[in-house]
Amino acid sequence: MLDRLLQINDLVVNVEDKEILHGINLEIKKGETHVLMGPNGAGKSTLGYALMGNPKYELKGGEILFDGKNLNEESADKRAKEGMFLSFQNPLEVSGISLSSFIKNAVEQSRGRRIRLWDFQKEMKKAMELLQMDESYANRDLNIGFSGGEKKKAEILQLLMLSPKLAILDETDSGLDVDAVRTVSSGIEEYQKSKKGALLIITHSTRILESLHVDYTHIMVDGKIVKTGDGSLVEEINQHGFESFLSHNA
Amino acid sequence: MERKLDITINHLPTPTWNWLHMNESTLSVPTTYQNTPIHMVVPKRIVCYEDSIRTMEQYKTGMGEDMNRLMEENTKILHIETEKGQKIKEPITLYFRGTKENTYHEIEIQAKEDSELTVIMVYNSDGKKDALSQNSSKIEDGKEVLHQGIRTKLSAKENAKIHLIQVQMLGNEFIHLNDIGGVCEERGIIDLLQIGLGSKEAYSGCQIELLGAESEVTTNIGYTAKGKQKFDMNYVINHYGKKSKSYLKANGVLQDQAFKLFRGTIDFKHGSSGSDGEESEDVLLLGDDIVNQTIPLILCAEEDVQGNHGATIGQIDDDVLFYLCSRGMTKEEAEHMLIQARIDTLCSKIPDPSVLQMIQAYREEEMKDGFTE
Repeated sequence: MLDRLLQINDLVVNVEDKEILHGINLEIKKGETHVLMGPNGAGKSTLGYALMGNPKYELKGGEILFDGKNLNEESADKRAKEGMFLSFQNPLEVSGISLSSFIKNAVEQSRGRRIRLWDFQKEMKKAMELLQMDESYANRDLNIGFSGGEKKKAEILQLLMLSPKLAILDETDSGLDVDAVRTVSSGIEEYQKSKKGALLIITHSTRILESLHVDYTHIMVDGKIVKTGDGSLVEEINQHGFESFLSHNA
Repeated sequence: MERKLDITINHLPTPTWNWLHMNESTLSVPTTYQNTPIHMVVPKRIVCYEDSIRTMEQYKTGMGEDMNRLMEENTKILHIETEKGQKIKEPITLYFRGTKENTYHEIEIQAKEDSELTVIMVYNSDGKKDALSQNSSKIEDGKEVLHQGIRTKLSAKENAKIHLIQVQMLGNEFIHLNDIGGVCEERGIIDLLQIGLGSKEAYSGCQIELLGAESEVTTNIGYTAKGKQKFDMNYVINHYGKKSKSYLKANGVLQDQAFKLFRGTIDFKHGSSGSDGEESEDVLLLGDDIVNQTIPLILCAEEDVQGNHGATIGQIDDDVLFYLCSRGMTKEEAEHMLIQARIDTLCSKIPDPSVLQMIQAYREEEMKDGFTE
């Protein structure tokens, strides 16, 4: 199908010789929003890292098809250039590189051309305003001294600036207060609507989903997707937790 | 036949095991040299003159006494002085252009009471090929080698502040000797920033005496060494004054077969109670044939002092690399970005746009050509 963006077939992933994902199947169409939920240690973040091509996560079986291309052997930078983006649960701190120059560099890599500083600054200012980020963060070293909330906002800022085809958000709402979740959520909504981007939102909680339209919800337990439903499944989890799925898997 | 002098420099104040070969360094240097004119950009109000009188002869330097032997025939000493209370915002920029001769220079900078000044010293040369000439003094590995030696002495009087910035961008036919000796009186401050990018071999020494109470020295060093480049450093900070402070930080990147030896000593002398000293080193190793040697020393003859040392030495963190790559950068681009970042952080403190442009041009050229031999 032409509108199929990501197709994962029987994906098996090892971390340090231990099998974590035991045959994952998932399909995301262009512009769709999928939510991946599950208890701690289910393998949700492993899926995110494996999709993005972290070398520590070894593909032992299955395939990752993205926009019709098999990405199994591709490095993280190639996957990013194809239009995949991972928002990190714990964004790394890098001294000596400002947030602004890092994003400019990344945007130029993804677009494959230089961008004028003026245009870039204008675009970035708009995105920072949406995320209620103080402009001074642009000139600060990447994530150094940022609060947990500012780090997550900086990830969503990168998402808005890079406009990927698919954004995998790994626990973007964890550690955020109510106001910060709302702000980050409005940034994701902007990406969803204006950029028509597809999303795979990995989360424990449902707060971040309140203002977002969700097409599909998947429940992962012990490295397997045990249930797939529509957006209403989020509400079910919200009320009853993962208990019934744990027994289902057993 | 050219006269040569064997000198021993960069002595560790308290020797360690001889077999480590870290106590000092020896080299053979030519004694015939030129004292070529220094191109200077000097704000109008500053006192700047040349004569043959050394006013800071007794100041010890990081390289040690053999530098006196090397400089003894020199009769031109450049003096830069502030008046009492004079605070000069515009930097004084001195360009030491490596030519086809061996060159040695001596500078004395004196900041009188309550004054402040910034001096930028830039060491650069013509293109690698142009600078090679029949006048060069030494043949090594089939390549002709030139020497550039500079000794700078600093005096920060009571409540005075000297910012000294040194940027070394010489071609790989140069051996560079950069020696500093300084004294801080009561609440006097020396703020030193050094960027080392070029030359075949770079020797640098620095010894600062914190004589006065509440005097301070800050030393920020950044370097990148590639190919067979060699960086040999000796930094000694002696605390004498009460509540004096020192901060010694070296950030570098070693690639290919580069060699680096860093000696950093903070010595709390008797009487320096209430003083603080911090020494830290961060070295990024990008290659399998690198030699990285570090010898940090914190010496105490006083109980009520605080001395800290920290070092981060290793490869680029895999998680950081993956983070950068996940934004579309190749491994090489990400590594390059991290290397550049170390120098960029220091460059942001240089208040002269023309010097920044020179650094940028040098680094772009270096990227194009590589620096391997």
